[in-house]
Amino acid sequence: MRLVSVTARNYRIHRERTVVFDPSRTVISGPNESGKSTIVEAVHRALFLRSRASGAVLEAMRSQIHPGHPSVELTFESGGSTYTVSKEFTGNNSAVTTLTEAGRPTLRNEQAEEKLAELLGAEAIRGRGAEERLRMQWAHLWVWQGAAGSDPLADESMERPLDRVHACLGGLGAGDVLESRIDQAVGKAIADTHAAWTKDNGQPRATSPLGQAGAALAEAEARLAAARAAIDTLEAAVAEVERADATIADNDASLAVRRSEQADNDVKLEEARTLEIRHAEQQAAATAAIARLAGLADGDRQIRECEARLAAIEARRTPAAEQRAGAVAAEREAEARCATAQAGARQCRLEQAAGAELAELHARWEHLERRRTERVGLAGRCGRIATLRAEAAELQARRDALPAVTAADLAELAALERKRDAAQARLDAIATRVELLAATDEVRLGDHGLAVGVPETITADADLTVAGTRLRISPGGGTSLTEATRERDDVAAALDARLSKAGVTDVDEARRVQPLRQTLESALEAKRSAIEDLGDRRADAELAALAREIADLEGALDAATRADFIRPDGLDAALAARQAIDDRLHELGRSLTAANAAQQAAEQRRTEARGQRDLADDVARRIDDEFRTEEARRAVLVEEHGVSRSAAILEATAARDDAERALAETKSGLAKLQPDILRQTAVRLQRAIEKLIEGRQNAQTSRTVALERLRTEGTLDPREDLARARAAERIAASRHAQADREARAYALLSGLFAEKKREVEARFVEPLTLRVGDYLRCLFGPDAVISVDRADGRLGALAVTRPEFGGVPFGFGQLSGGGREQVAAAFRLAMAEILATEHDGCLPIVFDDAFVNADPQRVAAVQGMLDLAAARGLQVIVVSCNQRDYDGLGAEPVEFVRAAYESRRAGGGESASVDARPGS
Amino acid sequence: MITFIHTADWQLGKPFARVQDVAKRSRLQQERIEGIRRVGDVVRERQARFVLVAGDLFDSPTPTKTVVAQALGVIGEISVPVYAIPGNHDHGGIGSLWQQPFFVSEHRARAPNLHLLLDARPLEREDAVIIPCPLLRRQQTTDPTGWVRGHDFAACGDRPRILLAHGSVATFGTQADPDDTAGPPNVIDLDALPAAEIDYVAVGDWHGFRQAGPKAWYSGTHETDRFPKGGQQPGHVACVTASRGGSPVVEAVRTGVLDWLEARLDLGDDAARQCEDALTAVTRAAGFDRCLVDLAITGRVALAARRELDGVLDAWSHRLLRLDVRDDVVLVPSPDELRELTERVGDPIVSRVATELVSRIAAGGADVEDAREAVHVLHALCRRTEEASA
Repeated sequence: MRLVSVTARNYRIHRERTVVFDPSRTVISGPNESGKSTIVEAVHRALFLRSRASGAVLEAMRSQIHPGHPSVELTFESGGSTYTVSKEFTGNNSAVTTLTEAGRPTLRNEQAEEKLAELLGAEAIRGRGAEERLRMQWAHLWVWQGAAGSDPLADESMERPLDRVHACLGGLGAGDVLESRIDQAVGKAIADTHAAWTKDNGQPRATSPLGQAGAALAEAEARLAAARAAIDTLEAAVAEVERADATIADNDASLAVRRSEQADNDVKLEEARTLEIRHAEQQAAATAAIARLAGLADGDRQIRECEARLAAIEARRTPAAEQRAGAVAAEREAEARCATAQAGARQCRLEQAAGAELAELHARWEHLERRRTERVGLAGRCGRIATLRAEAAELQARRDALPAVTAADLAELAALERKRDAAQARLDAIATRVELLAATDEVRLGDHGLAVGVPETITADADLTVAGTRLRISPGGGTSLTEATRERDDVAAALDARLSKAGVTDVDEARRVQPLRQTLESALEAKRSAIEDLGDRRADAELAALAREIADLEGALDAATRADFIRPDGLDAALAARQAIDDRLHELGRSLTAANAAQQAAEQRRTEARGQRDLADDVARRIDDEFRTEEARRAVLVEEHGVSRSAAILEATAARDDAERALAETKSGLAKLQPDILRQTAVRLQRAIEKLIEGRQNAQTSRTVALERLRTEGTLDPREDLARARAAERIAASRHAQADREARAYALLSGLFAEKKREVEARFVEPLTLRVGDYLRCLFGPDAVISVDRADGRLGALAVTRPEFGGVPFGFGQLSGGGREQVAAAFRLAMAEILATEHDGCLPIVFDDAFVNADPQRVAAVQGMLDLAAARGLQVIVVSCNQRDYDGLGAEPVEFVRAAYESRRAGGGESASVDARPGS
Repeated sequence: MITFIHTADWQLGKPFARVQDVAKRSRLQQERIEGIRRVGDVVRERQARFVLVAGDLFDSPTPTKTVVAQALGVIGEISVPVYAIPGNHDHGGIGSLWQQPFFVSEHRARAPNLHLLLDARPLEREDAVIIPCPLLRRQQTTDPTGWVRGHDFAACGDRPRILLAHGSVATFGTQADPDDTAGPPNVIDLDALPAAEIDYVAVGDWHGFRQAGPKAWYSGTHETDRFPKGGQQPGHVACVTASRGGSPVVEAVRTGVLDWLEARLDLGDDAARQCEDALTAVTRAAGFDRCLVDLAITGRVALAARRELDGVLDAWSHRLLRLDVRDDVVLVPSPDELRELTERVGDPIVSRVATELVSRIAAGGADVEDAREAVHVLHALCRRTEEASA
C-alpha cells in the first residue's frame, strides 16, 4: 500500500494544502509551526478516523483561522489499484466519506468506510476515547512526535501489530513446527523431574532419589563407622589387658631387682655411717693439736720480732743527735744576720724622715712665692677698674643732661605727628578754602583779616566780611567736617602732651636728642661691661684676702723653720730648690726599700733555722719513746711464753702429725664408699620401688576394667555387625552412584531441552531479527547483533549486542536516548517489511521528528538505514525541521514555509495556498 | 590303625552380610549348622573314633548366644568325642568366647563330648595321642607348632601321634576373603616338625580340601562359605585312617550342599537370552535355590536389549540365594533406536536434543557417560509418552 498524495482543507493551519509523496523517499521539512506534522496527521485521520467523528478529536482538527469543516482528500495505491478517499469532518451526520477506485463507481459513507478498513486491515475509529485508539492505528508505521524513543516491544499500541508480525513469521518460516506435543510432554516431564530433584543452586533436593540415596549413604557410613568403633573399642580393651599383663610382669621383675639393690645399698650405707662418726672425732682431735702448735709457734715468733725492732731503733739514735747539733748552729747564725739587717733599715728610716721635713719647708716657701706673684697681678687689675669707673661716671652725667627720650618715645611722637598731619590734611580736604586774590578793602574772615595770596581753610561756619558785606560761609561736609576737626584737635593735643612729657618742644628736637642719648648709653654700657669683666668689686675683695693669706704663710714658715733650711729667693729659686729636695727624697726612699727587703729575708732565714732545730729535737725524742715501748712489750711476752720454747714446739708438731695421719686414713676410706651417692641411691631406689608398686596397681585396675568391658551380652556379635555394616554401605554407595547418574542425565537433558527450544524459537524469529540486524548494522557497524526472544507464543524483549560495549547484550531500556530512537526505528522498519507482505510488498512508514538525539555521524547512518528500507520497498516519509539532516537520503524534498509570513504577504489574514509539489 | 574325621573352618555365625534378603541370609547360616549334622552322619557311616576340628569353629571370637547354643547343641548330637583347637577367627585370646560364662555352661550342659584343647600339651587317648597347637592370642607371631619341635615323644609309645594346628603353610599363601576380619593368619613350618614322630597333621584355615605336606592335610570347610578360588574344593571333611609310623589314608567326603559359582559373560544383542541360558545351565546341578552366583558381564547392548537384560537379572536375583553382578556392559543404542530419537520430524526439540547427545557420545569427551544415560532416559520417556497418549 503506497501513499500518492494528500490535500488538507480547513485543517488547523492549512487553508488548503497538498503534498505529493514520492513512491520511495519523501522528506517534509520546514520551520516549526509550519504545519508539517499536521499534514501527516491529516493523512492518518483520512485513513482511520470516521468522518462522523466528533468531540475532542474533531475540535483538534478544526482550524482557528479558516472557516469551514476540516476535510482531507487522500490518494493511495493498494492491491494494484489507485484509490482516493475523501472525508469531510462535520462532527455530525452530515459528514461525508467517499472512496473512489479508478474506473469504478464511488462508494459512499458506510460502504466507503468499510471498504477502506478492509483495504487497510484495520477499523475506522470513532466515539469515546477516539484520540487514544487513533494513535494506536498503524502505530508501528507512524512514529509520532515524542514517541520515537519508546520500546516497540513494550508499548501497548504495538500489541496488535506485533501479533500480526508473529502470525506472518509463522507463514515465513520453513514450515517448521515450533514445538510438538511430544516435545512438550517429554520436555515437561524432564523439567519437572529435574526441578523436583534439584535445587536452584544445583544441589540435589533432600527428597530426590539422589538426595535420599546420599542420606542413606551417609547413614550407612555412620553405621559402618560405629561398627568399626565398637570393634575398635573391644580390640582396645583386649590390647589394654595385654598391656596391663605385660606391665604387671615387668614391674614384678623390676621390683625384685630393685629390692635386692636396695638391700646391698643399705649395707654399704651402714658402713659409711660408722666411718663418718669416726671421722668427726678424729677431725676434732687434729684441729686441737694444730691449734696448740700454732699458739706456741706464734709466741716465739713475736718475741723474736720484738728484739729485732729494738736493734733497729738503737741504730737510728746516733745520726739523729748529730743532726740536731747542726740545726742549733744554723739557728744562731741566722739570728745574727737578722739583727744586722734590722739596724740597717732603721738608719734609712731616720734619714728619710729628715729629708721629708725639709721638703715640706720648701714646699711651703714655694707656695708663698706663688701667692706674692698673684698679688701683683691682682693689684694691677684693680687699678684698671677704678679708671673705668671714672669714665663711666662722666658718660652718665652727659646723658642725664639730655631729655629723656627713648626710641619708643620717639616713635610715638613721630606717629602722633603723622597722625596730626593726616588729620589736618583730611580737614583741609574737607574744609573750604578761601584765598584772597585781590582786595581793595580789608577782607575779614571771622575775626581776622585775610592776606592776599594766603589760602585759608575754613572748617566751620565763618563770616566773611568785606566792607559792609558780610558773607557766611558754611563749609560742607556736615558732621564729617566737625569730626575731622575734632580729630585733628585731639591728635594735636596728644602730641603736645607727649612732647611735654618727653621734655622736648617738638618732634625734631626729639629726633635730635634721641640718637645722642642712645650713643651715650651704649658707651656707658660698654664701660660697665668692661668693669664687670674685670671683676668689679670682687677683685678688691680678692686682693685683700690674698694679702691676708700671704701674711699667714710668712708667719707659719717662720715658726716651723729648720737649721738646714735656706730660703730661696724668688719663685724660680723656690721651684728649683724644691726639685732638688724631691730628688733626694726619692733616693732615700729606694734605700729604705732595699733595707726593708734585706731585713725580711734575714728574718725568714732565721725562722727556717728554728724550724729545723725543732724537727731534730722531735726525732730524738721519738726514738727514745719507741725504744721504751718495745722494751716493755718484750718483757711481757717473755713472761708469757717462757724461755725454753723450742722443746715444746717440737712436741706439739709431732702430736699434730699423728692426728692428721689418722684423719686422712679415715677420710680416704669414707671417700671410697661415696656416702653421698649411697644416700642418693637409697632415695632413688625407694622412689623407684614405690613407683613400680603404684604402676602395678594401676595396671591391675585397668586390667579389671578392660576385662569387664570384654564380657559380652552375647546378643550381638560385633564382627557380624561390622560385616553387615560394610555390606550395607557398599549397597548404599552403589545406589547413590546410580541415582547420581540418573540425576546427571536429567540435568543434562533439562539443559539440552531448554537450549534446543531456544534454538527453535530463534529460528522462528529469524526473519525479523535478520531484518532488524540489517538496519542496525547501518547504524552501529558490522558487528552489531540483535536478539529477540519469544515467550508464551509472543515476541518478548529485545537485546542489542555491540563489541564496543563489551559484547554484552543491552536491553532496550539500557540504551541511550539516541540509541533507543534508532533501535526502535530499525525495529519498526523490519516490522513494516514483514507486514508489507500482506500489502503488496510496500507500506508507508512515517518518522515525524524521530531522530532528535542523533549526533551528526549517527544522522548520516540513519539516512543509510532509511535508504535501505526504501530500497527494500517501503515508502519512507520523514518529517523534520532540518532539511540538511536528510539531504543525504536523496529523497524528494517537500518544503513548508511558515504560514504567518505568508498570510502577511498575502495581506488580510488569508494564508497563501501554495501547492507544495516536489521541486517547488 | 584308627579312623577319625578331620574337619575345620566351620565358621559358625558367619554373617553373609552381602546377602540382602534376610531369609536367604538366615538360610545360609542355618545350612552351616545342618552341615555339622551331616558330619555326624559321616562319623556314624565310617565308624570314626573321634572328630578333630582344626580351628575356626566360630567365625568370630564373640559369637552371639544363639549361635553358641545352636553350635553346642548340634555338636552334642555327635556320638563321639570332638577335639577342637581355637583358630585365628575364634582365637583363645583375651575376651574370647571360650571363657565366657554362657559358653562354659552350655558346653557343660549340651556338648560334654566337646574337648577344647587350649593348652600346648598332648592329649592322651588309649588309641592315639593328639598334639594340639592352639592359637591363644589374637595375633601370634610365633609358630604355634614351635613347642612340638623339642617335645619328647617317648611317652606316646606306639600310639599314632596326630598334630592338630591352624594356620598357613608357607607354600601356597592365604585366601583373602573380603569379609575376613581376622587379620593375617599364622604361619606354620611343617618342615621343622619331627616328621618321624608324627603320623598325621590335621591343619585348618585353607577352606578347600588339600594336601599340605607328606602327612599333612587341609580338610577345608564342611560347607562352602565363599566363592572358591581356582581349583579349591570346599564342602568336604577328611576321613583319615592313620597308624603309628605309617602313611595316613585320607579320603574327602562331601558334606556341603550349597553351590558357590562364578560366571563370566560377554553380551551382545541377545543379552537377555544369553544371560538366561547361562544362569540356567550353571544352576541346573544344585537347583537354583541352592546356588550363589558371582556374575561378571561385559559387552555392548542396545537400549531395548538393556531393558530386557535388566529384567532377566532382576528375576534371577530373586531366584538365587545370592546374585552378585559386576556390570561392565556398555549401553550402545542401535542405529534404528538412534534414528528413532534423532529423526523425529514432528518433534523438533526431541530430535535436536537426541542429535546433540549422539554427537557428544561420538566425541567421547568427559560427559560421555552422562550422555549415554541421558539417551537411555530420553528413549524411555519418549516411549512412555507415546504409550500414554495411545
